[in-house]
Amino acid sequence: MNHNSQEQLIDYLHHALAPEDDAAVYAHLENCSACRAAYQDEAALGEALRAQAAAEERDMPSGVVASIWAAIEASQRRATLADRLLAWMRPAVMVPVMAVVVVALLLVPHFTPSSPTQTIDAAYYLQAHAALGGTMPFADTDVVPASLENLGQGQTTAVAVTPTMVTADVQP
Amino acid sequence: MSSPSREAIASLCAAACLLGASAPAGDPSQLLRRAMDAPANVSFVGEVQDLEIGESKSVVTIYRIEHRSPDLTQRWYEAPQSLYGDSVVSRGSVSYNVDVKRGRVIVDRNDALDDQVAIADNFDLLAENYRVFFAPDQIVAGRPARVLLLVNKHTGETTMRVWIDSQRDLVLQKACYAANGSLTSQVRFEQIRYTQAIPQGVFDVPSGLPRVQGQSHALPSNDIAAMVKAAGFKARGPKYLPDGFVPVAGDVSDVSGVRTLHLLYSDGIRTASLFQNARGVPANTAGYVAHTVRVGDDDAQFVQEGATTLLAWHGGNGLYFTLVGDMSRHELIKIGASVEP
Repeated sequence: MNHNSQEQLIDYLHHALAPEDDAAVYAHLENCSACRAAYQDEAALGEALRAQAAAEERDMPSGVVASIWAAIEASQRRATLADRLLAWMRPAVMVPVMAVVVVALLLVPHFTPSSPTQTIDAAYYLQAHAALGGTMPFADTDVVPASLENLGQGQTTAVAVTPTMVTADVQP
Repeated sequence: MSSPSREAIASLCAAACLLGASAPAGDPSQLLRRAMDAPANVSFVGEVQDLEIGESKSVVTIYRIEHRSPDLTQRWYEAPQSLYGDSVVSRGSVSYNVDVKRGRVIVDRNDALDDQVAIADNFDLLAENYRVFFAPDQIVAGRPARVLLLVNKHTGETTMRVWIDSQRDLVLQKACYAANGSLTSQVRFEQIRYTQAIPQGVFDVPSGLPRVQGQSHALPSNDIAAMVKAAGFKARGPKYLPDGFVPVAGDVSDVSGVRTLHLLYSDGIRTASLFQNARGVPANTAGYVAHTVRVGDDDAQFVQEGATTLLAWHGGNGLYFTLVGDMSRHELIKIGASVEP
C-alpha cells in the first residue's frame, strides 16, 4: 500500500489537489489508520494555528490598515502629479533643455558623476553575528536559523507587544 | 516587644515547608550542562513560537521543526508549510535554505557550529559570569519543565530564564531580559513530540532546484591577537565592555572584496560583534528603519532588528565600524564610543 506523503495530506487538507488525486487520498484515508492519524495531526496543527491567531488577535489593527490605505492614496496622488510633469516634458520644452545640459556636460567634464559607492548590506553583519554567536551554548542570539527568517521575510506577523516590564520577577 | 503568636509561627513553618517543597533538588548548573547536550540525545518534531521585541515593533513567528539525533539533522520551516513553503535543512555545519519563491537552494556553511571545544569553553565563561538557580517547576507544551534563572554575578539581574524538560533535558523555552527586567525575546515550544520515527525523506533537500553558494563562515579563532594581525590594517577595539565581557572569537573574511575583521565579545550569554574594514566601505541599511545617532564625535546609523541592534559609523583614518549586539541602543552606543586604537 502506498501511503500518502505529508505534502499530499497538506494539499488535501487545503483542497489543493486535482479531483482525481483528492478522491484517491480520500479513499486511502478511509482504509489506512496511519495516514489518517497523520492527516489528523496536520488538521490539528491548522486548528491550533487558527486558534492561536484568533487568541492573539494578530489581524492588523485598524489604524495600520488605515495608514496603508492613506499611503496608497498618497502614492496615487503623486502619480497624478507625475502625469502633470510629463505633460510639461513635451519636445517643445525638452529639446532646448537637453541642448543646454549637453553643452554644460561638455564644458564641465569634471562634474561627471562618479560610480556608485560600494556598500556592505547590513544583513551580512546581522547574519555573521548570529553565525559566530552559534558557539555560545545559550547565547541570546536567535535559535531560529537566521537564513530562514530572511527567506520568510514578509511572512512574520507583527504583534502589539510593547517593550515594557514583562517578567523576570522571580529572584532567587 | 510582643512575641509572635503560635498561629504566626505555624504559618511561617507552613510557608517554609511549601518553599522547601517547591525548590527542586539537584545541581542547576549540571542540569544546564545536560540541556546543552540534549539535542544530541533526543529526536523530536514540534512547533516553535519565536517572539522578538523591538523598540518600535515586535514580531512573532511560528515555525515547525523536525530534529533527529544524534547527527543533529534538522528541518525548520515556517508554519504552515503548505502556505509558505520555504524551509531550512541543516546537517552539522551546512544548511540548505530552500527558497521556493525564487526556485533555488542556498547553501550556507558555518563551521563554528561544529566547534565543540569553543562551545565547552563558552559554557565555562557562562558559569564564570552567571549564577544558576532553580525557580518553581512549570509546564511547557504539556511537558513538566524545570525552570532555571541565570543571574548576572556583576549586576544581580536575571538575564535569562530557561525551561528544561524534566525527563529529556531539552530546552523547551528560553526568555531573555534587558537590564531593566523587560523581556527582549522568547522562544518556546508550543507543541513537541519526541519520536525516532522521522522519515529520512523529511530531511531530503529538493533535487530539482539549482544550488547557490550562500554565506560561508570558516572556523573562528580564539587567538584574537592573531586575527587582528591577519586583518592587515591597524584595527581598533572597545575600551569599554559590559562587566564580564571578553573577546571570545574572531575571523577575517572578504566581504564583496572588502577585507573585514570580525571580533565577538561575550559574557557567556550576551554577545556583541565588532566589524571593521579599512576601506571605509559603509554598511547599507537601506532595507531597515535606520536612525541617526551620535557615537562619540561621529554620526552613526542605528538599526533595530527584533531584539538585535546594529550601529554603523565612520571612525576616522578610513576605518568603518559596525557593531551588532543583543543589547539596548544606549549600551551599544557606549561600547561604540569607546572604540579606540
